[in-house]
Amino acid sequence: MTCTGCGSAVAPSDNFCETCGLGQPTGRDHVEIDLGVAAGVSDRGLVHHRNEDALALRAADNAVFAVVSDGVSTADLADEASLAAVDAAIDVLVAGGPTVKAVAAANSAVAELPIRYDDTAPSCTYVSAAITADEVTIGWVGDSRAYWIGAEEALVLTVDDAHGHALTAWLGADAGEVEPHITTYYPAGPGVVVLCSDGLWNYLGSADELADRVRPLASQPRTAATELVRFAIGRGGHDNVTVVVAPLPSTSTRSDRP
Amino acid sequence: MSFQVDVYQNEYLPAGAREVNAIVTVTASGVTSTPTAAAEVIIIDCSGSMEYPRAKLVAAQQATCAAIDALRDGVAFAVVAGTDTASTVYPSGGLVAASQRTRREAKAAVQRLRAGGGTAIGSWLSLASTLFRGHEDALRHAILLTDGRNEHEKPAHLDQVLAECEGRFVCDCRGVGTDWEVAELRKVSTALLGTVDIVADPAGLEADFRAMTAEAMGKAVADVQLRLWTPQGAKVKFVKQVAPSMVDLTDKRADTGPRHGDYPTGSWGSESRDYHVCVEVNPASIGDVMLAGRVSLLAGDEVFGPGMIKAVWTDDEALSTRMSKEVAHYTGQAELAGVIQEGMLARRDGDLERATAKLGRAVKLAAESGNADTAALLAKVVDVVDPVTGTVRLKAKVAEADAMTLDTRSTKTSRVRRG
Repeated sequence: MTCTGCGSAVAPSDNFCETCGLGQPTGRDHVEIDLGVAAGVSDRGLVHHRNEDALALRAADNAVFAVVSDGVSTADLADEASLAAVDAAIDVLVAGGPTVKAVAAANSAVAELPIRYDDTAPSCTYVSAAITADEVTIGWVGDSRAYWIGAEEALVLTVDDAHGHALTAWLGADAGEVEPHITTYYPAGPGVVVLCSDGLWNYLGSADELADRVRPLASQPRTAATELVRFAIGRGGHDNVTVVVAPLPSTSTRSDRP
Repeated sequence: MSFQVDVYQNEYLPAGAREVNAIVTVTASGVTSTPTAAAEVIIIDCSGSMEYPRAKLVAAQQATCAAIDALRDGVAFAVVAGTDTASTVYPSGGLVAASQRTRREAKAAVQRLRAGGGTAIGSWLSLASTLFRGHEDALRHAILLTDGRNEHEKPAHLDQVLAECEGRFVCDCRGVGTDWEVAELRKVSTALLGTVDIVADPAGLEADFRAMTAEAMGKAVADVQLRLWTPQGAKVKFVKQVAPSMVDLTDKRADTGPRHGDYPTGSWGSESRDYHVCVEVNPASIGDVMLAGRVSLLAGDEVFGPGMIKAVWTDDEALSTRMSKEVAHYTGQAELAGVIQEGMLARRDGDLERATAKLGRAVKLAAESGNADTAALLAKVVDVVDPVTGTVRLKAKVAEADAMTLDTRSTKTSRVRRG
């Protein structure tokens, strides 16, 4: 591999140029997970030097589990915080654990990261969805969101823990007692669950605007997620942007039926 | 034995900034029970002044005997008597392995020592260096005790000998009484990567020598190098050991390859040391990440680390103005050592205004950083009116021992508190 700056060799062990020291793009700058039944895309955007959002997406026992986290960049180790959170939470959810335990596991994982500066414990937001054939359980802390886009209706399922852009709740060692919001939504018909970080919803006027962009692509989760990320980047990409799109009932479940 | 390398820094820099600072903590652990081959030379000042008072020579003899007793069986050792020349007290040539018999013979020879003649530290070290020949694979440690100034050789001779001895052995220096020169002994200990301390009362020598020898016996790896890689076009502003004491290693660099150089750190046992690395790099664009330094430890054929020192340029002031508490702490400790030495020099030169200002600043820094040991030493030289503002008055009467103790121990730093 050669350096994107000077063309010299890059140290494979740490991904920095052996000559000029420039950091090379990491695997996290653009992440895509495509399960077929659901898909997620996370991107660094155009302004931030790294992607501090993280996402996890897995399917098990006819259910889809998704977690999105946004590292708080004014704290320290924001990228590690979000990754630790989604990795810990998804394991609990896939094992059949309740959302409240997934949040607790995520919080513990973030709180274990080192505190290198006073008052800047690594911290992040959290939103997860456990999606079965007929219900969607959402858990969240902070301002990452979950939406339900039905055939007619478009709803924000979460209520931001924030005053303006200042978070009022987060995960991490300095978060105090974390009390996640947990809500279960029972859709009346088919639709799409969308999880996203503020890198997307900052550019959305309302749930209806999201619905307009998602409905035409409801049966193609990967294309829908990619298009939404592309939309945010087209609007300036000022923040990291992460989107998970999970249709319900899942497209493959539908195709499996005779 | 293995080394862990941890880096503490604020990697965020404002646009165009060049200077990258980091504290590198190196922790050595896993010392095996099989002792490493070791060689020890004890150098005792036997100049005429050691007889005045006679208690000095007697205490030095007892201390040397205690050090000999603290040697492990099999450690190659010798005792050197230093005057305006240097001679071996025991054995008659080279080093001898410590055993019941050789320890007994060595102590008997030490008891027969008489004082007389001058002080030529360069020639003492020169003899020690010769004695270590053939023991290059062992841990090589010397103890040097003096009670006076290096009056019987040209300063240039000492400098030349120090240059020759650098890397040959580690030397801990002790000044007994108050007639020796702090700066002179510090020059020796700094060049030879050892400690320097004052033993104002000869009665304290025995315990000090025993502790120093035990410390030397606890070392497991010699000639450990700190390797620093920096990117093309970067300039290393400084590399300093900042804990447990302040030692500037910048000029000790040996270039060892493209874009990297090695700094000697001497011998290690199970211990932890902190280093302050300051590198100037060519700034990259906002959003870019750069590796400003890679720090590894080399012990024998083994390489440990690396610790990564990074630079990230950002237009977010909340990030770039954040101060790493480790960097801030040790920047303060370096200034503390500097203002104490400057203040004591001004005091000696009769520039009382400058001395008051510098020592006042020292009191403030010591209080802020929680360096209680240094604060206590300062309080014996100045009356502290207000430690918060650093308001002090020079004491009218200060014991010479207290003044010299403050100067000698100015380089002792307090460890950063980690939450």
